[in-house]
Amino acid sequence: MAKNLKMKAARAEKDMTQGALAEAVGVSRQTINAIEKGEYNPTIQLCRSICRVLDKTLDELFWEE
Amino acid sequence: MKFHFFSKKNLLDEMQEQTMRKIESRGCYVFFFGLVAAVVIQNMMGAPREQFMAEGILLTLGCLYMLEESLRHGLWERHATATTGTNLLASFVGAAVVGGMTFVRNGYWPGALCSAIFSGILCFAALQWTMTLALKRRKTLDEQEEENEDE
Repeated sequence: MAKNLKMKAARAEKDMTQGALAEAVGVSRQTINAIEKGEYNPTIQLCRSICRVLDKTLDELFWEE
Repeated sequence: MKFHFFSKKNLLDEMQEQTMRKIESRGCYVFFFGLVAAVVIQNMMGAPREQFMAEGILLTLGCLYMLEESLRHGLWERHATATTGTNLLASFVGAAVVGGMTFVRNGYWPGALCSAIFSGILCFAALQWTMTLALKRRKTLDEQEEENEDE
């Protein structure tokens, strides 16, 4: 699985650390780190929570061209 | 000072939960094959049945639970195809194992051959029967989903 650089960039745009994003969506930092590294495929519920916190759409963060 | 020992809420997030399930699943296989090995080794060493009865009962209960749940959800094997040929092959392997074990334990080949043949037949019948049940259940579940979609 490829790295999710879009999510990393969106998080940086919001000036959030992995820990802050993790807390905002209610998961561990380990999970956010694994998603960004492409090691974990999150459920649609978690994707939606992350999008909501980062003010992005699912396509913007999780769609692969 | 308040102590929190237990929470009704799951304290793991989805990735941790998934990892935990993988660990539990692997642990379950270790226990399962450990029990099988304990029963087989004790049987081959000629231990009296009473000695490994508890392991045998536990193993049977575990297998019955897995069988019942798999059938209820219409699931068959992950990799092996649900065909008569696959069941024949699995029964042959089972028969060979039982025959070999009986021969090692008793050293009497006609007895070992008989037990192998009957075990093979029994194993094949059980596999065919459970496979038919699983496929039938799967079909019922597939049809149910179709009906819900139409609503």
